[in-house]
Amino acid sequence: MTDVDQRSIGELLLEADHTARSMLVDARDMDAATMLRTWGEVVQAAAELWRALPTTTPPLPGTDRRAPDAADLTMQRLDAMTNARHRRREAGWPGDGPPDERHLQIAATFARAEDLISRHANQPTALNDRQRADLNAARTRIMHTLYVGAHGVNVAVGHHLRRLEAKVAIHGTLPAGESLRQVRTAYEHLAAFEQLAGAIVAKDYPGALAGEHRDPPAAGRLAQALADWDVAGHRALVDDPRTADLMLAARTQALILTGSSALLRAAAATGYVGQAPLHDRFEPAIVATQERWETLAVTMAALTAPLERRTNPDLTAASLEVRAALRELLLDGATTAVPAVIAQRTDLGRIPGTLGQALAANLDLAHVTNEALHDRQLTGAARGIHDMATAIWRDESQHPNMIDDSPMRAAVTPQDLLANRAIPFPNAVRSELVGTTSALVDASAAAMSASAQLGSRVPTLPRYGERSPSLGKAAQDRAAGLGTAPANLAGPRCER
Amino acid sequence: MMHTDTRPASHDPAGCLASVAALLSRASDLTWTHAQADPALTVRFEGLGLDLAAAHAANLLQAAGEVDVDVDVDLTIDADVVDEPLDLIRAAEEILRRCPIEDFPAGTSQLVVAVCDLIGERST
Repeated sequence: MTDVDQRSIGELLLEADHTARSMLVDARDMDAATMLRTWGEVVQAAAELWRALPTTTPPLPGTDRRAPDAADLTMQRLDAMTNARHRRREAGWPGDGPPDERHLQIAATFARAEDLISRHANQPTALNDRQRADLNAARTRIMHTLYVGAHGVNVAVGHHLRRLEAKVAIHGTLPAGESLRQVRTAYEHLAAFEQLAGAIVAKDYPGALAGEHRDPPAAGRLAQALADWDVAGHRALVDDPRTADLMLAARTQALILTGSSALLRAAAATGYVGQAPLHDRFEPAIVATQERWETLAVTMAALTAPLERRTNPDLTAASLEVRAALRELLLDGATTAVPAVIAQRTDLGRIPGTLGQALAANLDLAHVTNEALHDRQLTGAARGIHDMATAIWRDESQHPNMIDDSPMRAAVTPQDLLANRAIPFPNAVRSELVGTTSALVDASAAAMSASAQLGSRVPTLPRYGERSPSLGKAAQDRAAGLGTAPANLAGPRCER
Repeated sequence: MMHTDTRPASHDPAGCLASVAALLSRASDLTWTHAQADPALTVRFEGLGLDLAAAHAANLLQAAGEVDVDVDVDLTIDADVVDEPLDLIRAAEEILRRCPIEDFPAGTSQLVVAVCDLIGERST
């Protein structure tokens, strides 16, 4: 008997999937901190395996380059989100401790599969139908394992959160090493993760396993731009955040939300999204979140000297592309394009899915922003800090530093003030900023929840002789392909 | 060789970039202040475009050399007298013309294009 692992890639993936499912069954009884500690290794191993697989999309015309599809973009996001949390791991909860053995087993299984592919598999230049189906099945199984695994960790963290809340309610204190804030943050991070992975498996699983799945078209420019932005945003705000980066991130997020609203209004006008959920729940939630981002950006601008507004180059490039991608869809010269025009530019049926993912990522970026403001290394412009500290003192009646509405001492030294030097945030300013971002996190969670109500539907095409809003060519093609076209619709070249 | 431009040429690319960064930052601040009272999408596109151009100028400034703190103070005061973002962007574009492009750090061409695009977007 030999110790060499003889299992095929398919068998390895099946084992990872089964292990994740077995954990889900036990999740309520498992230790949340232990699970959270090793979850990052599972995601990292899955992302590495995913990258080792051949791409399924056809090459771009005239090149060997292949555009990523929606699942590729989702995997990039999941990897970036988890990486950001892992690198930013704060002192406190979950802290150091024993690893979760079943998580390590899943990660090792993914690593073994990746090793097999890297060492033995040829990279085919063109995939036949059978290879494509096989590959799609492997990708779906990986994504499904992540989805199930994230849900398991989230269930455990949710139970832990409720236990802590009960302890605080009864005893008024928490055990040493515990933090309600950190547990809540982890819980919401996992919810966003689950929603992103869930959007892919809801579409592909289990169809892809039977080889029945057909490749979706390559993701459009907006989907790619938003995914790249999420990756760049997480990296920049975790590695070495500066107020200029936070300002740019806040403004880009605000534009993404405003643009999302406009795109969904266009989708509603053409029948892809219900008017009632859009106006009753989604729009108020998204406006509130956008306003929170804009308020934060104004504060960050005040805390950044004009000549210190240099930003992380990758963040800048990603923001430029988001702006260009949204602009291309939404503007006609200096005005907002009408829904019928937007429908001609993009397939509005895909917009709810794309924006649902963007809103899940929005929640996680709000958390990353909140955590960046806890960073003691973060500095701000002395004049902005002085103005903000004075305003905070002024708002607190009978603050010891204020007499008759005048500050009796300065929050910064005159030298720093004159040169507008970058200085660390005083506690009062930091608390104010953290309060602002905590409100942002709450608003982002509400927006993500509201987006889940939107769904997406295929609009009914007009009966013969009826007028209706233009749905756009792609949508009409898809609707006809799904068998929703009435039999008496005029055929091609029969526009009368 | 014939010169068609009679404006004084600058030999201080870092100073030019500092001026441009300050002007664009000021234009951005004014635009976002306006956005607080105006829900229009176009205002936000303009604001983010200005942020990106200002960040680009500040990044180039770092590549061009040390930042003089006094320049920051003086330019902020200069920019305060103008309240119209379009005038500030035009002023930034004029400053970028004062130095020959080869004197600027690599990447300034993209800044020139970005500033011209911003003027074009506002003039459309």
